[in-house]
Amino acid sequence: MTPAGWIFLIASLGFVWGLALWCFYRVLIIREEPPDPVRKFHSA
Amino acid sequence: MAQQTQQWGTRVGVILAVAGSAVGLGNFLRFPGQAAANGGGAFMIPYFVALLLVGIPIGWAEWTMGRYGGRKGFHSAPAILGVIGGGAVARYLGSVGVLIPLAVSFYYTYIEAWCLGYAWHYAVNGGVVNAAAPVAEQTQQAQAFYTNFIGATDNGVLAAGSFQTFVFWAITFSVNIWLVYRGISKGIERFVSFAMPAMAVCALIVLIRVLTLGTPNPALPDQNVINGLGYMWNPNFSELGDAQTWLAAAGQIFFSLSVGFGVIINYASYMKKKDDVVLSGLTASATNELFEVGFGGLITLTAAFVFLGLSGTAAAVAGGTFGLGFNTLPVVFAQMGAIGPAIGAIWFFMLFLAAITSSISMYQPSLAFFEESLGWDRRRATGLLIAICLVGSFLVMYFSRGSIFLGTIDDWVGTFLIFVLAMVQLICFSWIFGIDRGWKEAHDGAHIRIPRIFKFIMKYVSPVYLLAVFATFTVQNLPIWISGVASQPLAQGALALIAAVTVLLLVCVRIGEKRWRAAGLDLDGRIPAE
Repeated sequence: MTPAGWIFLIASLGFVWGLALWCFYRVLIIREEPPDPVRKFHSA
Repeated sequence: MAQQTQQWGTRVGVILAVAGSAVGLGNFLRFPGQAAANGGGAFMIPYFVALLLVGIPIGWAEWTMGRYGGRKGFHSAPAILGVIGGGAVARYLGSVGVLIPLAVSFYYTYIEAWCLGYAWHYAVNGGVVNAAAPVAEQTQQAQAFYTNFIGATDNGVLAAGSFQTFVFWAITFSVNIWLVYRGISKGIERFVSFAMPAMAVCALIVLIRVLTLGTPNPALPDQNVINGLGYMWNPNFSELGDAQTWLAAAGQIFFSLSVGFGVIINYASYMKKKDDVVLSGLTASATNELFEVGFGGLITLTAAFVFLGLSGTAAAVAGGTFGLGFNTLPVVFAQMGAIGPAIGAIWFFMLFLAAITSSISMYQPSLAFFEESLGWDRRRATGLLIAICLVGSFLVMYFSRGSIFLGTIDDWVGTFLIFVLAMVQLICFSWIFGIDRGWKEAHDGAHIRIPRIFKFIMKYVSPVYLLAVFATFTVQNLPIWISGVASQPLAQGALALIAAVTVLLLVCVRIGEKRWRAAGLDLDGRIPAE
């Protein structure tokens, strides 16, 4: 494993883990919207 | 006949369902092979560029279009693209968004059954090769088992003595249909809420085992974990000057994220009116990348290198996705000693979970389409779906020799038409619906803002990038595919099946069009959504 290999490995893992953790953190702190009223479409 | 719209129960549920659709065998088997063959660590540069310029922007467009269509009471790609694209042309082209997941399901569930079958063999029989035999003999045993298991030597799965494959397919297909029949929230969402974390746990167990292998054979000190990681990650910058590397990276991102597949647009149509699509779309993409780079990039080739060395790993990469997964890895697990069967069982069960979370997303768009175009209830629509899938899947399983039938559907539908649908969707969203309107729609209820540069990227860069990849891909592959169809009756049969399904879907679009118009629905998108 070369130093450049380590750099690419750590940078790539850091990016995907960082992005995923940030996204899920943002998703989980948001209050869930109440469900929309049941709608009926396509009456034929 | 009336039909009730369904809804996702939670925001995390829809994110996991879309991520589950995207995470498949390709994350663990195709990605590492592509990276190693196209510059190692350097491959990640065009890979992440394609993620930012193509994958995430098209994903956002699909999420936005899906939720918009859902607000108008539509859940299928033809109806939603008719609304977004403003008329019949987009609506009929949208039938590709049902054809792709439906036709791919014909063979994908079959491959999923291989994963279940291998997991069962590891759990019950301790593997598919003799762990005491020399490596060369194990390689032959693995190949022979695989060839027999999938019936590659002759047509007729039952006649070839692979009855067990048919049993595993029947189990797999039944579970898929049952989950989809139970509905969006009670079936798909509940299942992915268990399957995705379970998949992550399985991947983590295998990853820890692989990273702690050290140097298993002191007589071969170079075959160690660090060098295994180096095989995958050491950059070869000269590959960046090769257009093939950029094409491979864009293709990997494109197929991995399930964009242009007709799934995201369907899943997003079941969101609540004010649900966020920007953060949700990004989170689903990030989850897929975590499995692909974070697990796929560390496990497969590292394990192969530690036990098979440089030449063995290179041969595994050359063997492609299935060669790596079903021929090479059984040999690798056989070298792991007493824990090998357990790791093999966990690995193939993880692949099964990855596959089933993808396959349920292939059945749902067709089911939604039959319900809303024919005005049928879920039970009747499921009956039609089962009938079509039984015909398609039996043909794929029966004509198993050389996987020609399967491969033809994969080439023409699972590859070529995905590019076509992605282009149609991008044009509908950015140019017909309008990027300004689409941008506003995407940010309605959004919890994060998309950087403004992406407005330009989605209107100009993504279509051009996609078109360039599509054109290069077509020039490289289309002549080979056409000559293959011309010379192989099995390939012609596969195309005839695709044509028959296409005609059926177009008839359904026509029936639906009449029904929606008679019901006074805004099927051409003339009125803004509420």
